[in-house]
Amino acid sequence: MSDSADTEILDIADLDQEAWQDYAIEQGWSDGLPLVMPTEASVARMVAAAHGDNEGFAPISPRQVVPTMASLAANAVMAGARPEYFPAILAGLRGILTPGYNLHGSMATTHSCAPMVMVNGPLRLALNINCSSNCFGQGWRANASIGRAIQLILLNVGGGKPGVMDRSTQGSPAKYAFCFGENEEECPWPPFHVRRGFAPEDSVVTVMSGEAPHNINDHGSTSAEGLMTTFAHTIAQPGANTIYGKGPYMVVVGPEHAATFHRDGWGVDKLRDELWTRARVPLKNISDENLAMYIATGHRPTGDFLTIARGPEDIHIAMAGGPGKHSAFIPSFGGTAVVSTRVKLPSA
Amino acid sequence: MVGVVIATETFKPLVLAQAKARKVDPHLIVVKHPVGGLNAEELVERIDAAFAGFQQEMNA
Amino acid sequence: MRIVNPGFGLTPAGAEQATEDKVDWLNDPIVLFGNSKPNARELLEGVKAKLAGIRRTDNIDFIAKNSASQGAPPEMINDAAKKYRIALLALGD
Repeated sequence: MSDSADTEILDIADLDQEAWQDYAIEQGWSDGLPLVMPTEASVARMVAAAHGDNEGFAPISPRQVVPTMASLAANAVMAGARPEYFPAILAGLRGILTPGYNLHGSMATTHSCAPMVMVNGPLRLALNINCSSNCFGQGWRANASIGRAIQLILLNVGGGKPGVMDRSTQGSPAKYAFCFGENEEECPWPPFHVRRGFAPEDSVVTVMSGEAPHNINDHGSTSAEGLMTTFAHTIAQPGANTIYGKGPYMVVVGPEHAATFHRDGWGVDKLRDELWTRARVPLKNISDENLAMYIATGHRPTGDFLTIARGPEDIHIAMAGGPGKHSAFIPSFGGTAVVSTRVKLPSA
Repeated sequence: MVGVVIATETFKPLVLAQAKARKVDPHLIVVKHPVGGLNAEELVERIDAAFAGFQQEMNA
Repeated sequence: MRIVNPGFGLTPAGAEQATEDKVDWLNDPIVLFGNSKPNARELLEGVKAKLAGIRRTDNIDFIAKNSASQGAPPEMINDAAKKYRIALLALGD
């Protein structure tokens, strides 16, 4: 390997807080919010939190350069992350860099996708990752800075500058930070990571190139069947990217909806099967021109419907949130995968 | 093999940056944005521009 | 003051300058490579129709990757590279 044009350590003029923010924004390093200065000492503390993690990283698209642990740590520092968050950030990044995630496509697309980051296992509690009320929202340092650090890495190492390399038509608030934990403590089903073959004691980060959560409100249904009617019709959107970029989607069931499904005997497999057969877009909701385009690009109707996934295996069910009759649908970019990576905790 | 790329003006910076990352000097034809969503009459102008660009590559 | 450059990265090993061959623009086979986006095929076929006035077109073929959101499979690219000498690609939009 040879160095790219940059150098790892920059010797800059002494700057106060305001001057530092102006400097960082001029360099194109910011997401628009203030950044913590990545001093050598703060970056060293971050790197130390990944002690023993010697696995390399693939080049990051679209710039196609290989990050160093220090450049990744600098972004984590700038995002406001505590050092103990760093292994989770690295696990999320490794998932994003797997070929199936399709980082290049998800950065270059005009779609509004952002890296959705879900954390499972004991690390959620250790890091105080919010899995309950307002889990997709503000107020938790771990959620905010883990999600933000990953975004800053894609911006600064990956080169995904909005409007240049990141071609999203409208972007999304999820592009600031999109990290939450599964509410394993209230989940009636085995935790997401266990269903994917990890041990309960593993801490696992799952990523998907997804849209911001879409709310599924159902205060009236008192049965699994009733809830499924609402879920399926909320999810079956004629504007779904996954009609022609077939791929996965997530349904993050709120605990009260999950309790109703569970009480009526519906497990995760049942939910997936029902969504696969019922969350389909009726042709009457699609314009003739758009349908012609779908057919021309190989996406033919199934009966009177267009599917938004390739099969039940594309439908991923998790449980998060607090009290209330709300759940969430997280559509994906389409040409992406849901990737789960075990967190490498620092060696002693 | 020689590759000639057609991109809209909107995507030109992305294509050039990608080419730079891969150390490629692209033969690039730039047409007006967009291409998708145009009807047949509107598309004629893009075809003419792409053809003119290709002719330039042939004669370069 | 010294800070760590958050944009620092290393160029991957093996990222070498690509080279290209000389081609016969009037006779060599051309692949029109679509990106599966709307109107990409129409655009490329439109160029082919106009090329009929200045070169042979019986060896110009259209292919397209399977998905607008994903890269073309390597085998598709390799097959095209073996069969054709010139590629006209619809890439951006």
